Amino acid sequence: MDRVLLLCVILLLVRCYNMAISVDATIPNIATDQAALLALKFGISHPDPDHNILASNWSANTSVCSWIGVTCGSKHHRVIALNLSYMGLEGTIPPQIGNLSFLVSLRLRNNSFHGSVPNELSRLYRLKNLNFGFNNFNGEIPSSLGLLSKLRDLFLFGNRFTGAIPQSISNMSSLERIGLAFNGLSGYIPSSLFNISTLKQIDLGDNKLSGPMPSILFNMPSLQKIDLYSNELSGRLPTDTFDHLPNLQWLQLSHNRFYGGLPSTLFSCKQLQYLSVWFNNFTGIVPPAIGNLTMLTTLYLAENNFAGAIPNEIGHLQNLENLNIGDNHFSGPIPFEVFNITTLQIIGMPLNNLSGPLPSNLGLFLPNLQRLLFGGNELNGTIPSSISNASQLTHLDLSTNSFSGFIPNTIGNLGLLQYLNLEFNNLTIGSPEMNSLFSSLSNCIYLEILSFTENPLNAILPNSIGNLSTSLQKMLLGGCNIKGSIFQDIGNLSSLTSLDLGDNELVGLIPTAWGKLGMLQGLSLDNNRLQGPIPSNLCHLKSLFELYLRDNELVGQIPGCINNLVLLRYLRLGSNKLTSTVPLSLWNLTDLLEVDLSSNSLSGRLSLELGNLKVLGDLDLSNNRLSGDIPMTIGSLKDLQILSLAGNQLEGSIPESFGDLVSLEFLDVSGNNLSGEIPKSLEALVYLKYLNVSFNRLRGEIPTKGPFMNFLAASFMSNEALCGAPQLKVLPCKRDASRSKKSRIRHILAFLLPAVGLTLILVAASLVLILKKCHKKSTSSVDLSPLAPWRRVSHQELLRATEGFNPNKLIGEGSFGSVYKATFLDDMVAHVADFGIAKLLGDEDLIKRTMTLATIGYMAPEYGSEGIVSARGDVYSYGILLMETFTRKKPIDDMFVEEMNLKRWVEESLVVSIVKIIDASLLGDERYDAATMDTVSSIMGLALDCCVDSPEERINTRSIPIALNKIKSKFLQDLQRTA
Amino acid sequence: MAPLSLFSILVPFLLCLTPSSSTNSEGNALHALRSRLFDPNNVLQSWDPTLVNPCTWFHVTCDDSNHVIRLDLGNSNISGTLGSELGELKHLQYLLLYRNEIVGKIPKELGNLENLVSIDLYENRLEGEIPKSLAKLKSLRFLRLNNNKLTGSIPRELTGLSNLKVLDVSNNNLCGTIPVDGPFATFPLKSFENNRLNGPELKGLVPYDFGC
Repeated sequence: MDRVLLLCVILLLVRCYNMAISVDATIPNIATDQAALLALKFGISHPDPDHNILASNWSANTSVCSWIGVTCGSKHHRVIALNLSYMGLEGTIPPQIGNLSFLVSLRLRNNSFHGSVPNELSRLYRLKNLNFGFNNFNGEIPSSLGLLSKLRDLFLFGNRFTGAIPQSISNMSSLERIGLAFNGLSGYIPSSLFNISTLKQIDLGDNKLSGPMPSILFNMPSLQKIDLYSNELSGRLPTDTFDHLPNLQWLQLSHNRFYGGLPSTLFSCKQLQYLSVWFNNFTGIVPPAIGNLTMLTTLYLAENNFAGAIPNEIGHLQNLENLNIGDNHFSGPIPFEVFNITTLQIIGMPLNNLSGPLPSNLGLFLPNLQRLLFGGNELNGTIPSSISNASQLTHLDLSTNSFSGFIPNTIGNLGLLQYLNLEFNNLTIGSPEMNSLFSSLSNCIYLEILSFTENPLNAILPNSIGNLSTSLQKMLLGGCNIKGSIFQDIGNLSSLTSLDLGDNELVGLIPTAWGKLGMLQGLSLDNNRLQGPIPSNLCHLKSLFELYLRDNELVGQIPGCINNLVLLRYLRLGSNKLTSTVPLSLWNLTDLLEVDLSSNSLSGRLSLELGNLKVLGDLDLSNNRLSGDIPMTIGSLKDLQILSLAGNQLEGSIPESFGDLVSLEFLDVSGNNLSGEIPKSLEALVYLKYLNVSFNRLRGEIPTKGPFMNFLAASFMSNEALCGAPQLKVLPCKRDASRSKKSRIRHILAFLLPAVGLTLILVAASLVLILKKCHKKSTSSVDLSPLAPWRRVSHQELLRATEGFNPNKLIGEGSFGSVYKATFLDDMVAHVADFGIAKLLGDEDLIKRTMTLATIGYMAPEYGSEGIVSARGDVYSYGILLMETFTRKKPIDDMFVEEMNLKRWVEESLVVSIVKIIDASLLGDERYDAATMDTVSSIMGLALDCCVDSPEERINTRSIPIALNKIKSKFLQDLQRTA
Repeated sequence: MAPLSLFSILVPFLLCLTPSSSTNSEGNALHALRSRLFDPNNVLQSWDPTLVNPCTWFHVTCDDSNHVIRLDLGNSNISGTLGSELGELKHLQYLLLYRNEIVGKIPKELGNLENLVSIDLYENRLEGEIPKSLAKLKSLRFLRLNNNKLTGSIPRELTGLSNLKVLDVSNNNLCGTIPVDGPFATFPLKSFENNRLNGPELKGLVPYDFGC
């Protein structure tokens, strides 16, 4: 062992010796530096060669020490600092950089260097300051950088570094500031990073780091700043960390995935000035200890899941400038102490559950307040007029609360106001005040956004509205019970992009002075009582994207100049009194997404040009007086989802090209004079959910495939001669055999209808039998007269008797189907059961019917395996029903597993004894038990004959009642005998 | 189609001094898109990144959960490039950017938008290849890329788009052969004209990118 060690030492010595020799051979000097820098220069370019200072300045003819960006040390006459920051340089770093062995400071920030950082950099052991910030370096951060033990500043932010932060960084025992933000670093934060006791600042923001925030287990009094903004860090914050950071001033953890509560130790970091946990999943309350952090200037808790009350102690934060706790679940009142923190610039508490009023002196002690954001809470009371004392206020958002009372006119004294949002409250203004409020608001010359939407203002629109700031971009006064008329001078608001006066009680004409509103993108005057024509001056609104004039009393024609609105995408003019024809020019607006001209009195034919609107999604022309054919060009509207042409006088046939409307979900052409057939092409409209072709003159077969499988009778009612399935309440189609395959439903029904009738009769018969049987037990004197012969009941009679299987007549539902009360014309009341098949004849939709048809356990084997439906299948079902009736075991009983089923169980038991399977409640009276068992045995025999696997060998339908009659007669005889 | 909330601000102001840190990734993505675009008509003026979400912006439509489902910027005189940020609009169904002056490549990140029903990028100046990633868009019904400067072959992977009803790649610079499988069996030849395409794919005989 010792020898091995010795050998190693010797080898090491030899190696050192060799190295010493080689170094001796080339003692680095200023020429070495020059060569290294020239190598660097060789790899550098500039997008504009004329601006490449290095090209001319770094000349071998001049001293290296005089080169731009180069500093030499006086003692050794070597390069000690290289600073090429902000020079717009491109290029890579050559390995020769490692030869600048006296370099203390290397700064290349804000250039476009790319490629990887050469390992040779690690040879610059004197380096204290390395700054490669904001370049395009990529690859991993070389682990060898850990050798730079004298490094104080490591700045690699704003590059494209990937991979993990090397563990070796913890070897940089002098490191004070590490800035790796804005890269693509991933993996965990090495906990060893926090072993560097000299560390002052850590900035790892905007990377893809994951895992937890490492614990700090010993005192780091030097650490002042931790910034982990926007990573993928998760887990709870370490509880044992913050008490080791007595001088922490800055903690930025926002935009991560941290969860759990804020550790109580956090509130011992009394030097904290900046604390942000914005956008994490933190929960729990904010403890009163928050008041300990009196140095805080910024506190961001927004977008977490904090709950509970805001502690009053927040008022101790007398240096606070920025406070945002929005989008949490804070509840209870806002501590009024907050409003006494005179340093505050931002108070943001939107989107919480805060309740209660604002202090009546709000604003008196907030001379620096710029933003007051309380939207989306449950605050109530009035808006204090003292708010005007917060003279620096630029943003006031009290929207979506329960504020009531008057909007204070003093708001207009806030001369810097840009954003005023009071929408969705219960605020009002007295009629005279509206004028004064808007006069006062005209002092807010920077006002850009004004929303009073959905407040019961109950006021008359003042003409001073046109005196508001020309900076105003949004004026939203929808749903405010505003009366009066719109004044011309609204046209002065030349910066407006949105104007909403919809859902008010405005009367009079639409102003004509729109010329200056060239920026207006959205105009809504919906749902007022505006009269007169649509002024053609609206066509000057060249930026208009949405024009909503629905639900007014507008008359006249749609202006022909409407095609000037080339950016228009949504046009809603429905429910007015517009007349004349739809101007052809409208169809030149080929980018329209929605056109609603419904419920007017528009007339004339639809233009073929309609097909130009290739991106149209919603076209509603219903309830007008449009005539002529539906243009076949409509088929080119491939994006159309909603099409209503209902309630017009359109004629001709439904164009075949409707089948090309591949996006169509809603189609209503009802109430026209359309004739001909419903085109089969509509079967291809896979997204069609609603169809209405009723009240036309259509004829022929209703298509059956695709969406037609789901439409009900209402879609087709009141046409001339449509035919199809009976549930559509139209005539059946007459067809020759060669076409019968086309409709499978029809095919099935042809077989089913007789079967259904028969089945019902059989069921009725068996029920009568059961009724009778039970009856005998309740009466002491047995009625021995023969039962009335069973009668044939037609399906029509049944329908009438059950009111079309009306749910009101439903007595009960069982596993096999339903039992209805049927009142026949001769006052006979019967209970009618069905296997579910009877519903075929009602309005149920097809899918349900199919499911009902396939009731498990009653299904004949050939139906289950091959889908063959026939009368013989019903015989099978009837057999199973007989078994169920007399054994009181459902075919889906838990006991029937694997090979065992109801039929087999009956079959096998019958050989031994009926006692095993008979419903025990049928027995009990010794006088009749023998007869009952005998009868049930016979019935079970019949049931088994019904349930023979092979349909051909099953008992004939006609034989069943004969057999039952025989059993009945024998039963009656037996009873008579025992009596 | 447009939500009722279009004419209210509805979602209160949340953000403070740092609008760029808007926490709504979709708003961020749209804002990033805006920064790439030149918009002489100011159609994007309402795109205020300091709002909590972009649902009240013009040309943007959201669903009930405040997720962006439509971007309607067809024929809006905008120029510039598209970027990977579009891949953040996870709920987008309709991307309408047709008839503008958009240059550069079609971002492959569009393939992440699995709800996309319609991609309308026709009549721009887009270059590069049709991203293979579009084959992941199983809901896609419309893919209109005609009248651009696209090169390369038509990705064979697109034949798996079983819901694709309309495809138009005409008037580009595409090469190779035209797929014949899946929905491609139904597209008219007009959808492929004015390219450097060599007719329908001859399976097993000629490589599909023959002539590229």
